Formats: sequence, structure tokens, C-alpha cells
Amino acid sequence: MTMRTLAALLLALPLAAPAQTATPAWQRNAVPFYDTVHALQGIYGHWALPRAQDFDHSARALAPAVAALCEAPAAGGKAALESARTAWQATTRAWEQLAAVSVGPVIARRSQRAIDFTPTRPALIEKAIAAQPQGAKAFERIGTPAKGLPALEWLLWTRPVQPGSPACSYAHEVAQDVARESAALEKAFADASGTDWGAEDEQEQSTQAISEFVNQWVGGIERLRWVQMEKPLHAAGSGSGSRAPDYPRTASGNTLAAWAASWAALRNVTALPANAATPTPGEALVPLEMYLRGKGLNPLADKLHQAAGKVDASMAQVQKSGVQNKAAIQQTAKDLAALKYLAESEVAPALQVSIGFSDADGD
Amino acid sequence: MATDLHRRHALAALAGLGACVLAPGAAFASPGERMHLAAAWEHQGSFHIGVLSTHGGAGQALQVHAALEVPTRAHGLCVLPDGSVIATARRPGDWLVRWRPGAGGKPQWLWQDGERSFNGHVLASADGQRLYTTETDAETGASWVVVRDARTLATTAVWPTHGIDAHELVWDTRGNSGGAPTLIVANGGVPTAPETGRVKRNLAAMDSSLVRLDAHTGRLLGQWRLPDPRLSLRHLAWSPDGTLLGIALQAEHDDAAIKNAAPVLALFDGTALRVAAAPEPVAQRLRGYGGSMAATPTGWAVSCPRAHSIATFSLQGDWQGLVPLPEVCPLAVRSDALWAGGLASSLQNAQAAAPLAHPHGAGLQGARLDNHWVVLQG
Repeated sequence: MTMRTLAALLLALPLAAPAQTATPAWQRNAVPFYDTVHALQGIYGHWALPRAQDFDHSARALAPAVAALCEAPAAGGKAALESARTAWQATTRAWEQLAAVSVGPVIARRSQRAIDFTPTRPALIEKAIAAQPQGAKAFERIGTPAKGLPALEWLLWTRPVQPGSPACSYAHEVAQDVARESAALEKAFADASGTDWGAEDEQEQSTQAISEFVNQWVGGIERLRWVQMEKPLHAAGSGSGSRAPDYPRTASGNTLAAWAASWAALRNVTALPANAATPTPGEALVPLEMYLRGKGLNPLADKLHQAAGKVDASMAQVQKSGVQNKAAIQQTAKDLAALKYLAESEVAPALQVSIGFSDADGD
Repeated sequence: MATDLHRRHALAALAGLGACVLAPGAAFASPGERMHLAAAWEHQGSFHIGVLSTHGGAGQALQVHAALEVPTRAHGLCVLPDGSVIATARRPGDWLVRWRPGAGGKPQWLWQDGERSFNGHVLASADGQRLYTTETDAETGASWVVVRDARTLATTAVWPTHGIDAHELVWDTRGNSGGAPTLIVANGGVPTAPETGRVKRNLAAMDSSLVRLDAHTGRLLGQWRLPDPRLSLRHLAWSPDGTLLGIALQAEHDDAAIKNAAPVLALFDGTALRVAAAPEPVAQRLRGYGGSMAATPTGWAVSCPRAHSIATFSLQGDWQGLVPLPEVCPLAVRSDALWAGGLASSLQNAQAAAPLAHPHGAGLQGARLDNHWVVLQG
């Protein structure tokens, strides 16, 4: 999915569009009761697995695109660079959609650290270029700040690699390393989605998995709110000593797309779009809103739907007005904070999940 | 000698507040005198640090005297001799702030750039010129004590803590290193992944320890572990005479029954580390979670918010009893009296037969106090 497509999707499908008159499916049809097994089947089989597959598909196309850049004749260098950049964007968007709620293999493999460590370290990248590591084993010795998607962003935008250069060879190795991780994640999610969550000997694992999901959902909201949006604004300062906020994917100009991808993934597990069908137990993702409705907790589900709708509206404004509009970004951060507070204070307790992220969890 | 003892007493007691060292010569309150506490709290999803105040005596409300909104949850606090409050974000934290309550100036912020994260605690040198923070390397997960210039907040030294998940740190002024003070650091030992927040992983690999570091070079001078590797050593307080260090524990056992009955207090005499257990069936009520700790001449106090009680022990580590207080967490000591913060009220003389209750004022209604308090002197 391209940046433009994602942004357009976000603008076009607000959860709570004022003019919307269609009656949501859950109001027309009885909502089934969803249990933990249905929730996990949806999360792993119908949310995470397709995203892991998308990510792997994109990442497998990224390495050849970078290889083509390295092999391009001088005259074709510009077009090859654009192709590699497009492949990076597709891979990164797919990764952001998967990592927005980091469950199961993403946590177990520490994939965020492995392929999305920020800030990338140019000095370490230069050192790695000089070392010219080749293959998985050699790449293990390269520090995470010099590899992964942020390093590749630096190699494709900040200091674009030239065909035939050692830097381009290194960029190709970085792309292949990302592809190794995407393949491992795809396989791990394929295995996990086959889990019989209802089996007697899986009960403890099921309890842990649903708890992990709720915790990571809250953590994902907070990561988008604070790490990706508000902290860069704070850290940039104001007045004479201020600098440009260090938003994610700034070098490639993909900040808005990154925010849109993360929110799209978070929203997906949070609330059901008005035009979507009521999920069939075990056969579709059960957004938390519907999980609550299935338990008869409609007032709380309504609050969750509305809170997500507010983020939809403010995020759409950010997408429209750009990264220069601090007020819009702050409003989105505020709406995300409100969603997180609702998630921690009401949704998680209703699901009998202890929030490890939460402010009720001591230190 | 008398001066030295007074200084040692003051340093030990202040360090035991989970905060930092202030200049000696602190004033001690008489009943009815105003009490000021540096604190951190959450209120309807917003986070604050600030100064709370009340007067000694039952029924006096605990009020918000000054407050600063902070972007994420704060944890440890420290007060410098000039009255500045230093606070850091809870782990994995990415900010530290120096703020003068009521002074009107802008707070001075330090933002982590992703290389390391704050672990929630900060300590100051006796002269207030240097800060010591516990931090975690984002790439390796190893813990560090980072020494910073208190004025500029710039890093001046980085020392390994020889463990992971380093949490609170205190001074030991007993001269175990050729007469010079040393740093004692609690390595909580819980493996987490900073990139995914606070997710605990592979608890079988837990490795909690107490380390003593040379305060000038960071050199490792000693390391101690409890026999049970699932007990995380986290919060520290000296006994009033400065001879015993109390450590509040947090259990991380897989088995809920074992976890709930786990000890919440360990004691360190400078050479050996041992647990002080509560008797059954009380032990099971403590839920294996010590949130903060303090000591008075009456004994040790470990707040157990999950048990809505303060667990109290004699200075030798013998069980004394539970003091009920809903959602109790922060503790502080003033004039040898224990203060404890709860959800709707706080207690003065919490170890006494009849503690004095301080209801929370309007600004604290619905607020949840974080783990630590620091008494503001003078």
C-alpha cells in the first residue's frame, strides 16, 4: 500500500463521520459472544498473519530493487534509485502496519530492535560500509543502529548510494537482512495462527496472549502518541534555540505516511468501521469494540468507538495540513492520550487484563 | 565526631527516602508545622510532578502546592540544595527535568535520543553539582550509571552496573572505599525490551543484584545476589543509624501462589544480603510487591499497594504488622515519623498505634500517587 493510498484511506474512512447515515451492522444484527479463542484467532490469523505476509512480500521485493540500483548503469541510476525508494516505502509501510501492535513473534524475535532501531548511526553505517559484511552470519556482527529500515532510509535519501559503490553493496546487504527478518516473521506468524487456542494445554498461553495483545495495543497507542508525535515536538523546543522536530521517517519525507500506517493498524483492532460486517467468530478479526459488544458492554464499546473516531478526525487533519501544523499534531496526541486512558482505565479492566504498560503497574 | 554522626545520619536518612542527598542541617518539623513533599502523580491520564503540602496534625488536607505537567509517568525524584526538583521518567524513560517549583522559570528538559533510556531514578552528589541516573542501553539491554553535570545535564561519565534493569541507587557514606562514599545500585534484573515498552521476557534469565561502585571511577567494588533469582531488588533505604540497607523487593515468579507469598524486604549489612519474611498467612496478602521503602527508629516500612497496606518490620527484620492504607505507595520520613501516601488520604506517623490521617485536597482527588516522595527541608 503506498503512502498516498494509505493517507487517502484514512481521510476517506473516518469512523465517526458526521454525515454518515448508514446503520452499523452490529445495530442491525445480533452480535455474537466472542471468547478469548475467537479474539486470538482474529488477531493472529486475520490481523497479524496477513500483515506479516504483506511485509514479507514487500521486503522480498526490496532486496532486488536495491540490487538493481547497485547494478544500474550511470544513465539509469536515478530511475533505479526511485525504484529502490518506492520498494523501501512499501516495505516500511507494511512493517509499520505489523509493528503497530507488536504481538507474539515481533516481541519474541525483538524485530523492532533488529530492523527498526532509531536513531540510526551514520558513523556506524560508514564503518559497516568499510567492513563490507556479506551474508547473514557476517551481518550479525553489525550493530542494530547501522542496519534495518532506518539505515536503509539514510542510504537511499540522506546520502543516496551510487551504483557500483561499496555503500550500495552494503545497502543491498541491509535490504537482504530485512528480508531475512520478514521471512522469519511470516513463518512464525503462520505457525502461530495455526495454534489451537482453545485446547486445554493452551489455556495458559491463551491467557498470556490476550494479555500481551491488550498491553501491546495500549503500548502501540502510546508509542504513536508520544514517541512518534509529541516527543519530537517537545525535544525540538521552541523559540530561538529550536530545531525541526525529529519525526519518524523524516529523511524520506514519509512521516505522515508512517503515522497513517500506525494509526490504521491500531484503529483496525480498536473499532469496527461503520460499513463493515459483524465479525463471524473464528473467521475474522474481532475489534475490541465488537469484543466488548459481544459481552454486552455496549456503553463502553460506544465510548471506545467514539474515542477512536476522535483520533480519526484529528489524524485526518494532520494528514491534510502536514507536519508543520503543530496544533493539529498536538490535538491528535491529545486524542490518542484520551484513547489510551480509556483503554487502561476501562477497557482492560473490563477484559480482566492487567496492564503491564499501565500507570497502575508499579516500578 | 558529633558533626560527622549528624551528617551521616542526615545523609543516610535522606538517601533512604529514595531520593537524593541534600545539604545537612535540615530543619525538623514540630507538630502543626508545614510539611512539603516532592511527588509525582497521575490524574485522569495526565502526569505531574510537584510539591504537596500539609500541616502536621490529623485532618489537615494534603494539597497540591505546585505542579508541572510531564509528558509520561514520572518515577524517582531528587531535590537539590537550591530547591530544584529533578525527576525522571519511569522506565523505559526518555526525559529528565530540572524544575524550580514556584520560581517561574522554564523547566530544563533533557531528552534521550534513543541510545539509552532512563530507568526512573536519579541521585545527586552531596554538593548538588552532579547527578547520577540509572539507564539502560537500548541496543544491548545492559544497565549504566550515567553521571551528569547537574547544571547542564550533560553526560560526564558512564559506568556499567554489571547487571540489567538497574533501578534505585543510594550513597553509602560509611567509607567502604578508603573512606570515600560509594554508590550502591540495585540491579532489578528483569529482562525487558525497551522497544516494546515494559514487556518482561525470559524471566528464567532474571539476574538481580546489589552492586557497590566507586563513586569516582565507577569501578565495581562488590556484588551480591539473593538465593531466589526471581526476587527483583528495586528500592533502597538506610536504617536510621546508617548500618543496614533495606531493599524493597518485587517478585517475578511464574507461579502466582509463590509470587504472592514472596518476601518484600531484604537487608544488607555491607557484607551479606538476606530476606526478611513476613509470617504466614500475612505473607500471602502482600502479593510479592514492595513499592517503596523507608526506615525510622521504629523499624522498616515497605509499601505494598497491591495489599493496600504497609508492611512493617523491626530494624532487625522481625515482622511487626500491617498498616492499612488503600493503594499506599510513596513513603517518607520526617522527624523520625513515617509518612505514607494512599489513594484518598495519607498518613502521618504511620507506624504509630493511631496514625494521623490527612485527606487529599481537591487537586489530588482521583489522583494516583507514584512510588516516591521526597521531604523538602527548611
